[in-house]
Amino acid sequence: MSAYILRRILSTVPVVLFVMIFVFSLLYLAPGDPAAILAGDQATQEDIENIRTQLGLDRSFPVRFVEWAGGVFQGDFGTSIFTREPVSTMILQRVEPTVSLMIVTLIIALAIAIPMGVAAAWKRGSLLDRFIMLFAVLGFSVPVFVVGYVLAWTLALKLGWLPVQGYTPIAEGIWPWLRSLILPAATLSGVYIALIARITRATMLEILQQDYIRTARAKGAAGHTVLFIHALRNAMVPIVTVVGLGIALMISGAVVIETVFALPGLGRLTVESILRRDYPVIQAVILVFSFVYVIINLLIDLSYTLIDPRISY
Amino acid sequence: MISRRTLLGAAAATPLLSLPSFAQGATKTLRYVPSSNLTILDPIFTPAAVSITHGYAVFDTLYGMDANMEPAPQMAEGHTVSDDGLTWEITLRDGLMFHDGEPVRAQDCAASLERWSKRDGFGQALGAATESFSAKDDKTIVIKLTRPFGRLLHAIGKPHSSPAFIMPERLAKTDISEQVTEMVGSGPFKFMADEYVSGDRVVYEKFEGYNPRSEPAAWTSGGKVAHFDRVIWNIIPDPATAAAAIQAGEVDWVASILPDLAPLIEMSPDVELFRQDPFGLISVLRFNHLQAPFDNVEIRRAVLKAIDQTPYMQSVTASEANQQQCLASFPCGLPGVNELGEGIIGSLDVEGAKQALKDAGYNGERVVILNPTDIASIHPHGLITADILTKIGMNVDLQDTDWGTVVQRRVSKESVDNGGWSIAHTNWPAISIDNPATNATTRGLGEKGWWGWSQDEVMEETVADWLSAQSDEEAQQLFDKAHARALDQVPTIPLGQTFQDGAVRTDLTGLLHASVSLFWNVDRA
Repeated sequence: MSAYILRRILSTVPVVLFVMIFVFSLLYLAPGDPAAILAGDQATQEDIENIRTQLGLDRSFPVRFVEWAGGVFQGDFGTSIFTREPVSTMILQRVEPTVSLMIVTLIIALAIAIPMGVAAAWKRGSLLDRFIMLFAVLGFSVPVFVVGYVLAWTLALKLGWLPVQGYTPIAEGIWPWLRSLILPAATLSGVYIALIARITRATMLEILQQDYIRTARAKGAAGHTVLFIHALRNAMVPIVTVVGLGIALMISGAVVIETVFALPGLGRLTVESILRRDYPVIQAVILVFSFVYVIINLLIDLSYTLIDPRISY
Repeated sequence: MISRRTLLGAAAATPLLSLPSFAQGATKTLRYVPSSNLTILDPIFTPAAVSITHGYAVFDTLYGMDANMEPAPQMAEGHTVSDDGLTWEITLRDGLMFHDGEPVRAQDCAASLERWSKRDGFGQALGAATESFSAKDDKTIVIKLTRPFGRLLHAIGKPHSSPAFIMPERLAKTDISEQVTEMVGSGPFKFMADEYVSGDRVVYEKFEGYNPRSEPAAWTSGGKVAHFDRVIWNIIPDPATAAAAIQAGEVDWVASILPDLAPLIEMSPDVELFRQDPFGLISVLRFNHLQAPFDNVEIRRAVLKAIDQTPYMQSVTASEANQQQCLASFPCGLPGVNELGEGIIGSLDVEGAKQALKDAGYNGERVVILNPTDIASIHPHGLITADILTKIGMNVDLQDTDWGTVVQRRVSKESVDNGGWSIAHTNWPAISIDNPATNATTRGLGEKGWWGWSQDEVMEETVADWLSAQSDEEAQQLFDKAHARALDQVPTIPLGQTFQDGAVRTDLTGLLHASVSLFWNVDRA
């Protein structure tokens, strides 16, 4: 097992290297000039050239890449072209809101989707099943920003139960933190509830046809025992896989949600940096995302061994 | 072992623990939503409005601008001018202090003016006429000129696009190609660097050491009395969310409200619209003067014939109250601006334009219009211009792209076949182009000037004469001469003046008009 984990962690090195080269090359080739954006509307060509030289943007591709990559291997992601802050500081400032949003979203999604999927499978073809599947279709179809605006208008603006926008750090108290996340997380969770509920239902339907389920019933096991102990546990591998993929999708969903609810997270940092061509920030954020994605995949693979003892590495 | 009851009790108490204490409740806080994120802190380095707003909170200027757009002493006690007009001495008033506790000295001011004169357009004009910025003693700044510069106080008191903010000498010595990142000013608010998170929040605290003037506050002059202990900027990128936040009472002041959302604000009992800048924005169509076909003045004049400002203004705001046709190359309503373009701008003579184009020898050259799809106030301009030019028979190539790419491509002097361009649109805060020296859209500096590179020696001579003018009458005459020249040479086409409303909670009083939000004088009723 340890050898497997080590092997998997080492396998992230070429992935990250590839991402580094790919992202750097892509940004180098992409149109846009941060020096021109920085200089503003009144700037002359000379002003822009001076800023470009000052920022080292006039140097060749290999020189810039080697300098940047060397810094990354020493844990230095460079300095933002615009704010002149260390990129690592900017990322650290933005991690908490995004991670908090993802955790609360995941909790809401799992708490609702798995019982929904199980119930839909258990009552297959019933009104409840159809209602749950209708909800799932809606969850997929309605854009998250529409859901966000509707929830904000009703729960925050009209009823005043929750804040319209903003993020409260967890250091300022669990309840204020949670209060600031309920609306965005509920909004973002819609699509994951739909996704996980459908997968749970489909997998449960397949499992419930298995011989060992019939045997369990024949032994006189209670309905909930059959459903949650015998069936759901065996359905967990595909569900966990989808949850893992969902976390990656959540990163893209977070971009929209963080904008609608003014959460200062990594998604917004990414979009803002792309729009203003803040290369060091874009490169670092994409690297972090790719690394996180690799680690999540590793954790999911490892979780299979806990769910299903027949799987070992 | 923790029992379930203990855990539930602790959870229930958590919200109480997070409530602010009474001491915190006594802190008077103003919550403000700027129109964009603050990324560049140095307000000399960039003319971005959000950086200027930040600049006015933290820094002070030697002269401010009063409600009549006339310079008024701010950090200065007064000034003297030598008989030949070549030596200006500005005396600092007493009690000026930087946020780090150091007194403001003339040396700080001289270094700040020198740095500013390398970046700002008006500053560069002053810099070109200046032999030296120096300090006679700690209280007296000396500006030695090589030629008279009658508009000197207008230059160092300008209220927008890189005003001449004063910094400590050690910061003002920073190369102009580099940003100053340490925010130490002598303005009414201190920048709280440890609470600043770009993209989320910017925090200022009242500077107890600030010594306001005794005159009433107006625009950027007079007594800058801070009534709030803290000013917190909440960066809210989505306009609908910002509008909802002020309706819910989560913020006090939103700098700009999307025109579509203004009716919602009007219906809210506790919120009202507030037009901060009475002069608004001017949209412009800029030609590339280096490349065909717009290197030909007759073709630029032909296009001018076909332009009607109305659809351009309507594309920015549907509200007629927020549109003003301005038949001038300078913003209407500002001192010295006469509407000289009547009969020249906005004639909407498509047939006349077609004929003029033919007479000018237009040969079907491709007209590349750079059009940023991600800037709502500019994107429709490209579509309207493309339509008009097509109607008059031009070979139009409308190139939709993002703002970042437009900003890069518009500084390219290449031909359209090599990635160059023919037309681009932008908008300017009216106040920032209010005279012949600051109006980059009419200047004729050629390749050393604003993108589009209009070269016009006559215009530049007129600007130089205007800067040197010793009387108001002479200055007005030269202003009109420069204006007439711009209307004749058509370096740029003005597309009308539009106004942007912000929103404030109705319990706020004392909001000042200016081109950017000012946080002094504002109080809660």
